[in-house]
Amino acid sequence: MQIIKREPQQITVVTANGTELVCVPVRTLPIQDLMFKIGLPSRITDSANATEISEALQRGSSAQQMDAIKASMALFNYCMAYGVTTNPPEEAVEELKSLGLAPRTLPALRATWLNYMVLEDTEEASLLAGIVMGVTKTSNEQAKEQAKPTPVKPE
Amino acid sequence: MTIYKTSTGVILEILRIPRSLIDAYAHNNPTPEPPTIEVPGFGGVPNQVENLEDQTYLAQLNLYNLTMAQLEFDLVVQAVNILDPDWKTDLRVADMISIGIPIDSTHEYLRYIALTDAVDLGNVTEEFLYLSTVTDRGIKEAEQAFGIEWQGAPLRKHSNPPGRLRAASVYQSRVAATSLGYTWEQFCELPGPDQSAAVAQYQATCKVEYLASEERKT
Repeated sequence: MQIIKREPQQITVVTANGTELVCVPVRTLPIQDLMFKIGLPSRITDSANATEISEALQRGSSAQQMDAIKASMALFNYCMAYGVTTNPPEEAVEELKSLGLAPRTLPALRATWLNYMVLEDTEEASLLAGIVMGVTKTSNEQAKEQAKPTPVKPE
Repeated sequence: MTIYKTSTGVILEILRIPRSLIDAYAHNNPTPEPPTIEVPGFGGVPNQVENLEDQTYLAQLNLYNLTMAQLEFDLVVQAVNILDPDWKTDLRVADMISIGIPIDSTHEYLRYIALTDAVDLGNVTEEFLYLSTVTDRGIKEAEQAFGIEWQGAPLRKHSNPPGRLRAASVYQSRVAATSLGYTWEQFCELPGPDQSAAVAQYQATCKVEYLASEERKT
């Protein structure tokens, strides 16, 4: 996956299979909760890293590992559904429908398309999630910066 | 009770919660302490200083902040009722379920749909704290209502007595409560703005006594 354009509020990438995707910030609070459930709280605002996520998934009991895996799937899907604004082309939607995999809503359709037809493996999925979280972090930092009061010089 | 519409279009009723829950949240989770390191001081005398850059400490602090954020959200959930829409029929619930995020309680609905914006969460938190316990906002409102002035200026404009005592705000609330004749349990039953007014009354009385004693000295 390659970043081809970086703007303050969005990043454009090209995946290994040549699909161009526009990534935008997502809401921070669901991401925080999911990262917490995975067991990666110290890296919540940083970009995801496949090795760290897989290490975190291996910790704990089987039940905890299952919960963590569910949370990591949900995290990737959340980033793909709401952090990617590129919609699947018509033919891809038709193909997903023929496979019985086309959800009715657009966010879920985007996540399904990316999972089944665009992204090569977990590594690429985690890279994409990382890029979405990265642009979210940058956007939040800019919002905080803009919210700071401008110092007024005395006349 | 306050009605609040979130940026996600959900209308919430914000209620007060028992003050004991807020106090427990604040006091049962001590902030991690930074380690100290020895640095050479003036004249070669070693000084112990806090190492705020220590990586383990920073990781503990990060975990602490996030744990507190999770616990705070649990408090928020207890303080709000969802008025509109009926969360079970909200179409966004189906969206979330289809990407593997089960929304099977109001807690999950608030977390993933209604209160996903940090500004909304901040506003709701501020409001339920105002309704439930002593807050700066409540104290300021009470001070304005009292309208006390000393030598033509509002009381807040005069400097506070120099103090060497440091204590948690709950101590001041307890002193205010007992000095006004409440038991602590009775005080905790009061709505947040009334608790704040009691503390404001106590603070104002102390300050007026101090200013009067200073005036007598001159």
